[in-house]
Amino acid sequence: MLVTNQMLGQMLSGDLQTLQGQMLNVQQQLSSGDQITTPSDNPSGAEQVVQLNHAIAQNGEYQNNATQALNWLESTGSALSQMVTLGQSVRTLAVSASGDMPQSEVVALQDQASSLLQSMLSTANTQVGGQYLFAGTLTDTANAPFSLGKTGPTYAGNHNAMQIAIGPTSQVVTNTTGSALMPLLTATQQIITDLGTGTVASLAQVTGSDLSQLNTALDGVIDAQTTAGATQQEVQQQQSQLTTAQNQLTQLKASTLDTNVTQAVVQLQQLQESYQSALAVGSNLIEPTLAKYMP
Amino acid sequence: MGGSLINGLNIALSGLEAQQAVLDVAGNNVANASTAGYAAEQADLTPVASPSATNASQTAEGVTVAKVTRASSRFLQLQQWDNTSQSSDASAQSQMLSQVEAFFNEPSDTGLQSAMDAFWGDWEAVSSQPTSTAARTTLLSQAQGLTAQFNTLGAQLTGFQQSINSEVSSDVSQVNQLASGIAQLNTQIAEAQGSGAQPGGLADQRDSLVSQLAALAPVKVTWGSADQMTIAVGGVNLVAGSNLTKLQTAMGPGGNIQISWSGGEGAANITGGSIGAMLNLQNQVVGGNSGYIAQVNNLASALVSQVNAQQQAGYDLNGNPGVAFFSGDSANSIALNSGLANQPDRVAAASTASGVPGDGSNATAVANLQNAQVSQLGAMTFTNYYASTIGALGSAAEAANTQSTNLQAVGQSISTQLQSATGVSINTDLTQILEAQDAYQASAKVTETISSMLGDLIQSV
Repeated sequence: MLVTNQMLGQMLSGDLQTLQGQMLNVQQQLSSGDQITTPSDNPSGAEQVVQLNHAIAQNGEYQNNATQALNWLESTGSALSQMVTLGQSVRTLAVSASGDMPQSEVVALQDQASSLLQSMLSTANTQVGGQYLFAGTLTDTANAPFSLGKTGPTYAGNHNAMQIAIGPTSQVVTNTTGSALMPLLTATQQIITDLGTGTVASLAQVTGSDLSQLNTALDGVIDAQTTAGATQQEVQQQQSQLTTAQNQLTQLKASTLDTNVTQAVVQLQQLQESYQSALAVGSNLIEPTLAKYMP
Repeated sequence: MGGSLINGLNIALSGLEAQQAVLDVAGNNVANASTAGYAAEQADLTPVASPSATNASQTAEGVTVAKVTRASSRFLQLQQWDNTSQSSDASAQSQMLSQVEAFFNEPSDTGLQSAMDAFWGDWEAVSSQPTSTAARTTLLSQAQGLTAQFNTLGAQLTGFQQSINSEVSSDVSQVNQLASGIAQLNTQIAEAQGSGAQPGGLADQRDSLVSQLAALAPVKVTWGSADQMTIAVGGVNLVAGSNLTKLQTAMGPGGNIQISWSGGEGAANITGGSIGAMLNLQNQVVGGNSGYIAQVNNLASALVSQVNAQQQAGYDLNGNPGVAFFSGDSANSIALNSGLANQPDRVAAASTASGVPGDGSNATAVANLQNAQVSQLGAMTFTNYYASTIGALGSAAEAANTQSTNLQAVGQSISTQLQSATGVSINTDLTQILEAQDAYQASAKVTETISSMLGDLIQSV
């Protein structure tokens, strides 16, 4: 094959071009930290990264929701446990009532019961971040959901559930509505009324039917407390799963997207060596021709 | 054998002239050693034969330059033009697709996907805090960010598609210019050959124009008598000898450019070269029924219809039925419904009027659309649909890149072979120059000898 002078130059510049293109690519991988900077770098990898970004973002939102739900459930749990304590105090008080008590002691009992009822009302009207815990979905009305009317305690909330998504297919009911608390308030009111009547018969009701009504109501509150506790546990479990998933997703994304620095640096060094030697060859490429030796 | 000394002088003179011609040709080769497209020439010497064999005195007539041959390899040349068309097609696609990749800007934290993720996330936030004005306001501003991102991408893609029109039309006028140059050179070559000249330089020029033409559109080249070149593009003769049929452009339906023959031969079928690449991108890859523009539009329109339907099924903070969340039906037109702008209360987060304000389940339902398999998107989720668009774009760009690199390597090898067959090797030509110099000196010596013989003869008379 006849080797012409243009051939030598063309081949050298072509090879240098190719090497420079490859070096640019590796340098970009190193400087951006990503081995996929455009979809064509790795089409299926790019597709995967887009999907992983979505999964990570969505997972993050479920984590936020779970935190929100836990916040609500914890407040609910502690308010309910306060209600139980208050209810138990009313029960202790009711048990101590008897027909042969002096009038002054009965009045004292009634006062105590009334003040316990006030505490119950204020606990039932607990707010978290400006939201009533036990008002169903009527969480930010101007007037508190629980109040003491002429005929006893009233509830102005509704019985709607509040649901929060903590996973693609997993939703939890976070709220306890007024229906779980009203029987306790009504039973306490009944005891106050009967103590106020102060007759032997009415005092007998306090320790009799009133007490059993109170016990039933208290059981209801304890049930609600158990439910809230169970939900809280479910959300906590989900939260730890979400955290694990988030770590896995982030790792998976890193393994697809992040530049393997060691590999890239070695590759760059190899390319630089090739480039250097190509340049060295190039500088000697334009060999003297016959012209040099012609007379 | 009886000859004249004068005839000997003529023979020596023919030697001097012939060697000078060889020097000229070799010198011209050396001068053009680095001229792109130059084909090396060679002076073919031939002895001058006697016009009549019966006259023994006229057997020796000296030497003459029979012709100057231009080195050529039509086989390699055709291969190179083919390769030029393919390579220019692939490299145009690769360049343009990398522009499209830049528009999408994926994978990144600032692309359309991350805007969609933030949008769904804000719906989740509203669902868990339906009474929070802050969460609703964030959602609305994020929705505006998302629609702006759709609008930008849509505008970039349609702008790109339209920019192809002007590029194609300038390429087509270049094709016409080159074709008319080639037709002119055909005429000049025919004339030169008619007058017995060797138009090597004209043929070089013509080949170089054909190379430029091949980069724009695939050409089928044939040579006829008197070295007349015929160039067909898509089955129609663009150039045939001195005849020329030009291409013309017109705007077709949908704002896409169309190319046809000016001689009434109908639409031009150009499926390669940079013009073919651009038409393919405009009509199939970026435009067209399943191009990227259509895919992004489909995504936007599915988002509008799905979110709107779910919004209209819910109730806003005032207990009123939800209104459409978005307006528009394409990437360019999608926008937040103007009725919702600065009206965070009107986001329908509740599923029932009685659930207002604490019920966020309709917001959850909207957020869950991100997991829904949407029939308009071929039963894919929004994310998977978009990710598959990105994957397809990446594959197309990668294929174009690889093809372009491969074809360039093939082109390099063809070009090396063509150089070897037709290029200038300075050493070869200098060797010829040395030989010619030797021969010239020898002929000069012969002249000197005959001349002194003639002198001797004259003195002795």
